[in-house]
Amino acid sequence: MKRDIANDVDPDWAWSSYQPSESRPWTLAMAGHLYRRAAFGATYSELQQAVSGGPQKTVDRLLRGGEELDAFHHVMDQDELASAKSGNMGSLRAWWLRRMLKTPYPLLEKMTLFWHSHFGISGSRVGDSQLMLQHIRVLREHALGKYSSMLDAVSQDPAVYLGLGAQSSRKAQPNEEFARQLMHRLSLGPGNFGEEDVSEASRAFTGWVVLRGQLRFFDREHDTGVKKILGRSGNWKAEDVLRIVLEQPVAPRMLVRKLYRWFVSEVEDPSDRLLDPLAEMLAKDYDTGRVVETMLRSNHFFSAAAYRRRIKSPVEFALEIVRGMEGTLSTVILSEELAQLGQNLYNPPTVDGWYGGRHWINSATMTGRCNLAHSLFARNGRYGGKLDPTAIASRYGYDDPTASPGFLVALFLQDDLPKSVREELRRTIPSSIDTDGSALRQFASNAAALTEFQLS
Amino acid sequence: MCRVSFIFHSSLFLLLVPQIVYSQDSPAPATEWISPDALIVVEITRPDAILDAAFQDDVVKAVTAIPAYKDLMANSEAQQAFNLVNYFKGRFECDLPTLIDKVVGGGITWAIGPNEANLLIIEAKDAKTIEEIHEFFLMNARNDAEKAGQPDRVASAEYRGVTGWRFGPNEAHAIVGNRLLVTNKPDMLKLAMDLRAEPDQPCFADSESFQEAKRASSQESVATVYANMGVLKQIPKLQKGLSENENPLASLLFAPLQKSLRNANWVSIAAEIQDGAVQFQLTTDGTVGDPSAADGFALPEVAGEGAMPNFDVPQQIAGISLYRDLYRYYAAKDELFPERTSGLIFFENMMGIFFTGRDLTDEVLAETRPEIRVVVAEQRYDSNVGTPSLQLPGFAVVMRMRDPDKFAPIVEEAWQKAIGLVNFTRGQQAEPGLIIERPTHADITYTKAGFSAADEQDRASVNPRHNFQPTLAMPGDYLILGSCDTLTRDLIDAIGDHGDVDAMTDTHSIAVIDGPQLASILEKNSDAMVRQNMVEDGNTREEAEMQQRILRTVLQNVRTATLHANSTNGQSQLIVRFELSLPVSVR
Repeated sequence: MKRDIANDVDPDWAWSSYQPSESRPWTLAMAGHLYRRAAFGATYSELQQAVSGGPQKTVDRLLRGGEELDAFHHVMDQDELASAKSGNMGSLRAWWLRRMLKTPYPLLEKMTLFWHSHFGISGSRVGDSQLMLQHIRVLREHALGKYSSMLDAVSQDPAVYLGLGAQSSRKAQPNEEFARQLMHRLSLGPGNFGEEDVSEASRAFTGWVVLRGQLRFFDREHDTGVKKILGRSGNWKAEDVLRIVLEQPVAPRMLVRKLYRWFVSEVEDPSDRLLDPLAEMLAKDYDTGRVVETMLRSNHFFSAAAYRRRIKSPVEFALEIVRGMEGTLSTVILSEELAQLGQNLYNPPTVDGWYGGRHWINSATMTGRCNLAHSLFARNGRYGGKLDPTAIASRYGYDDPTASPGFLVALFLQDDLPKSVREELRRTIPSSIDTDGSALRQFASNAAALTEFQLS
Repeated sequence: MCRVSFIFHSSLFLLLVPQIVYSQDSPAPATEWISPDALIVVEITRPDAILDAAFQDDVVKAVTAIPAYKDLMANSEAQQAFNLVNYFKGRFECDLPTLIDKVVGGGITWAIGPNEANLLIIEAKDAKTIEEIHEFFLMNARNDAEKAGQPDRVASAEYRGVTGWRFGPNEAHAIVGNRLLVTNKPDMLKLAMDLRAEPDQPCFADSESFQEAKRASSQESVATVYANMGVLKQIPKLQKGLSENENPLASLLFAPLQKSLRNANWVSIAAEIQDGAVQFQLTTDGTVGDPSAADGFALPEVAGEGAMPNFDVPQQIAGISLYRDLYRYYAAKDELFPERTSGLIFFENMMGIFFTGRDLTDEVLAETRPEIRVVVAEQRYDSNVGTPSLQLPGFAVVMRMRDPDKFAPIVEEAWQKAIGLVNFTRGQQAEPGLIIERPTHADITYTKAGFSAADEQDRASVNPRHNFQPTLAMPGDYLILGSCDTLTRDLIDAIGDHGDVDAMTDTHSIAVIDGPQLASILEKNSDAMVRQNMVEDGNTREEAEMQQRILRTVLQNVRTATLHANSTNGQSQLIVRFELSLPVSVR
């Protein structure tokens, strides 16, 4: 019988801080694992720094972000705003990818991407690039903060109402979309509320209307009657509904389960027993940053229950290559290719966001990933040969052509490959003199096409 | 890409590698060493003229003074290349023009054959220089291999008494007399040696079409390109591009040229350097066809007809003038575009809405004369509106009506319907609509639509939609459809001043671009251009800024670029001329 490695653990041990030991050493593979989950992969120097600094110091660094963060955000915000003003959603998408690539605080972007999928607001429904940019900014601002504050901010975000089809809710005809999505996906989960709760809560949102890109409240359109929501009666308003749903014990558990799937594993369904300590922690003040920190520092995170237990999303797949190569390339083209692989930034497929996991992989997307890796490493073509494996190997002192393939395996796969795969890959190492680096490019492309590289 | 790499490496090599044994006898022309199946042959027959023009004191001073040049020099790769050049300047105790002249002064011939085969033949003036530089590269290649612990990459072999060398898998070269031959396919080098040894064998120079093209080229040219269209037309992409019914718009714009290229056996492009200008003339043996045929809508049937001269308005960026009979073009649509008829009928039905059910061919297009002019110019913004955050150029289409009294009200109605449709669609998306006005300029009352700027807070950076003020003006028998008010008013003035000007006989297309004006609008949108470059090309901000600076510098130094396409004696001719700000000339 298959062993449930996620749930066969003591929750206290699971969420205690990981301390390397002889039986559970801190290795290059573990450092790579941490950077895959808490960032978009790592550069070689980041991996080396992580290995020498140990797990907790590395988590500290990832939680804190790098230097000159304010200056980085200021410049990026200006660039994104100018792009949004031009009304070009494609350009906005490209700028976000560039931000993910260049940010000194990748965890923040990773969480922003998490919330983007969580709320599932699509630019194609909103139809306004400036509102979409504002939406992503709201998500970023609260990405590692309190979920209660985020819900407050989101409930004042016109893009959310437009994206949910709830742009107008009047006393005579309450729009149920916001209340339904709030209960169904954003707090309680299916089975934990009734249709009556949705109808009653939607009355609390009456009066809110999006007009010309602005969310406005019309007092005369607000239903001031008594509403009974989740067993509690009163003249509730929108902010009361947000408070009431978050006071339900199932709400923190639902959110923790989602975070677990994002950061730890999407293979096994974790038991309530395993998640309870985190849910209790979240219920106190909905500080998601603290829960994320606990997860990233934990024994469970650095165990077999989490290691390579997720499938990389297209964004993670591509950015890990580009970040590893310390390059910059056309994010306009990259964002188009990622959309073809199923992850169209600013445009989640439905309000449920991206399902992730095995939904990322099918025969067409696997071929697409291999083709993308090939294009990224190609000397010529769409990306102009900007990612150069020979140059990056040389930068770290691996000038010798016989050593550079090994460097790439350490960089992208942290040397952690089954023997048979390693042998197979070794056979693709160029035997002839690689005068122009083409063979090493092909080798890098082969490495990125491995199953192990598809896993996070 | 392989070709680009080859060209780059061989150019560098060529630039620095020269030649050899000074031959007592004048060698056969380089084209006699080229295979008869070459597809494209480029000949630089007067490198001295190009060097003279490029190294005039004023030109050097102007080029080295521009910031983009300094940016380029700061680049480490450029620095490395210049260090190498400086080394050779020192070694041969000469300046750069002299060095280049020694190496390539006898002429350059580049042949491209099937399967991406390239052969470059450089004729040096000083054979000794080329030999010494060759030795230098030979030694370096061997040293590099030794340092990297690799076997010697340099290989050599004898063929017909000539030593051929290889530095790598995609390169082979030989020095014969004062000629350096470089190729990416050793077989081409062997063939060149065969042709040298056996001059009676068929070679490229014998080709009848090449000789015909040579005769047609100007004697003043400093370089010529010859293309064997008989073979090139078999390339699917080119075949598609020349196809007459592939794209209706492309056919409308390029029909005469497309037709003559379809009929052509050869095309030649001759480059000339004249005082302050560089000119390229494309000639072909292909005919443009019969003006009365279905695809003859761009060819004047009456003597003295042709495209009208372009307008000249303030801050003009570009002008295009076409002789196109739209009535004949559209009437022949079934013949010209049989596969697109259903799409065109849909278009026709849509036009029927705007033109109140009138027949597009007989009752609309037949009312226009075969004169189409397009003008693109920088806009001047009304201070009451403000300057948009992104400044787009204004553009206008100018046509002539046959019977303005009859046709002007029809156009006015159609135009106002179009504005109404735009407003309705924008209203559905809660976007502001256009407000129609009837202003007067130079006694001409015209129609203008614009967005209200009442909600704009910062007049120095208003919404880009304020770039659009659709206008319709009909002074006399002219019809102006403009995207902005200032350009329309300028065109009303230009038409008033224009008087009677003669058409340019036999010319069917004229285009002109003002480099400094184009650079000006790029500069005004510099931030947006830099941002776009960063995400489109993946450059850093500094790299993107440098690219923009270089582009603007180039444009600022091209005073105007003009294109004239005509159909003299039934054959197409295209002249592209760049008037430069730099004082280039041939001494």
